[in-house]
Amino acid sequence: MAQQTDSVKTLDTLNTNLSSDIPVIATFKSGLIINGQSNETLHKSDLLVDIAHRFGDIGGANGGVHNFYGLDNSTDILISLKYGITDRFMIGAGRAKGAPNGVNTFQKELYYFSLKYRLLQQTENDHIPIAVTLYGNSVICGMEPLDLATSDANFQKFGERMSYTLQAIVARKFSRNFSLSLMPTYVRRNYVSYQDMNDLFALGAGARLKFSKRMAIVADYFHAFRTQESKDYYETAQDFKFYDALGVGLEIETGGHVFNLSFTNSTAILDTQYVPSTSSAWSKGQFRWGFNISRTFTLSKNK
Amino acid sequence: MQKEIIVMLSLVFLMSCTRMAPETDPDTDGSANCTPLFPDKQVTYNGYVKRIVATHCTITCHKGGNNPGPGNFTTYAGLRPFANDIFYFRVVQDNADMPQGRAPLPKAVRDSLNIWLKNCIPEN
Repeated sequence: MAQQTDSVKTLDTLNTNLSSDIPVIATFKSGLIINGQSNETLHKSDLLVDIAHRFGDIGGANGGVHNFYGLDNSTDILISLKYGITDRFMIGAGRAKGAPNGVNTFQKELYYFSLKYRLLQQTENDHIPIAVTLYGNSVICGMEPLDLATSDANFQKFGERMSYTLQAIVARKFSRNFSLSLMPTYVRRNYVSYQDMNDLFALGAGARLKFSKRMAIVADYFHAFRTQESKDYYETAQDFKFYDALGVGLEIETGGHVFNLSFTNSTAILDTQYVPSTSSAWSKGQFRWGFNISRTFTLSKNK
Repeated sequence: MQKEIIVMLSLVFLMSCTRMAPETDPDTDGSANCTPLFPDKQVTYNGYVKRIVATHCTITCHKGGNNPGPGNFTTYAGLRPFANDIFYFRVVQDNADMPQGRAPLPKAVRDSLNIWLKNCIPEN
């Protein structure tokens, strides 16, 4: 059902220059893969209400039956609104609880503003073989300055509360059932802990494999290019290791809802935290259930 | 359209500055402008709080490194920055949800912890 409306809408808004090139639709089924962005954007005048949640560790020292495999806890909660200004350009804003790990980051109460622009759309005839979408967000930490000079939350001026993500999402739908994306990412944090990196580059990869009419397996992975010096400092001085964020999930489409039943080792939802500061490992049982519930409202009368 | 995007992008990146926190805490005494609320009560970190925290907070969590839970509460210096913030909110007040599985602690314990906080978080 939803797919049909999608294609009708996309056809209506086909760029006249490319009228012979039919764009590939539904490379991914929503704007998010699990942790990372997909190449998809909203349609013009669509408003998306998105509530994302990450529970506590399923296993390990902090999981198990006594907190119902993490369901008693929440590591991060994000409530956001996104709006399509055009079929290619969308804005978003939201608020996340934030998931400080208490070693390299202490920031919580995160407000953010985001932009996403669909630069290139893949076409059926491979005239354009890949889709390219640009994403950026800026995050403001709203917490009271923490009385701990060695932390990244002992704010002295407003600019120190800011962090940013810039990302290009390069995606290709290889077949009806399989899509892949690469996400070169830059995370800028104005204020970091000792030996952490203000400027950090990362590479993400995402995939979607559809195995039935309504269900697909999705996964994404982010590797941050942290310097050896920084890793060594945290490992020796703080007994602290960084891990790459890996999310694996089941995507179930039920008409207007896209229900995303996913598992990830990262505790945070916003890019500026899960890319540089993931400190929990799948191998130690420190992964969690997470879900995004999103609902689209079409605000424009003429379809 | 292109122009608008550039304007919006430049707005987003307007706030910029760079700072890295120092490796060690410069000795600042945050309690300078604090008056104990219960001067006749003696609840100190070494005399009472240390034992409570060791029993309930730092066996598997809150001990730094990759252990779950923020902060390293095994020392006074590690606990102090969180004392009036999350420690009060999640352990001391009536709706406390920490320590996990044993929250809230008995009212008497939480009252003593509250006196410690209101008496400017003394170490000794």
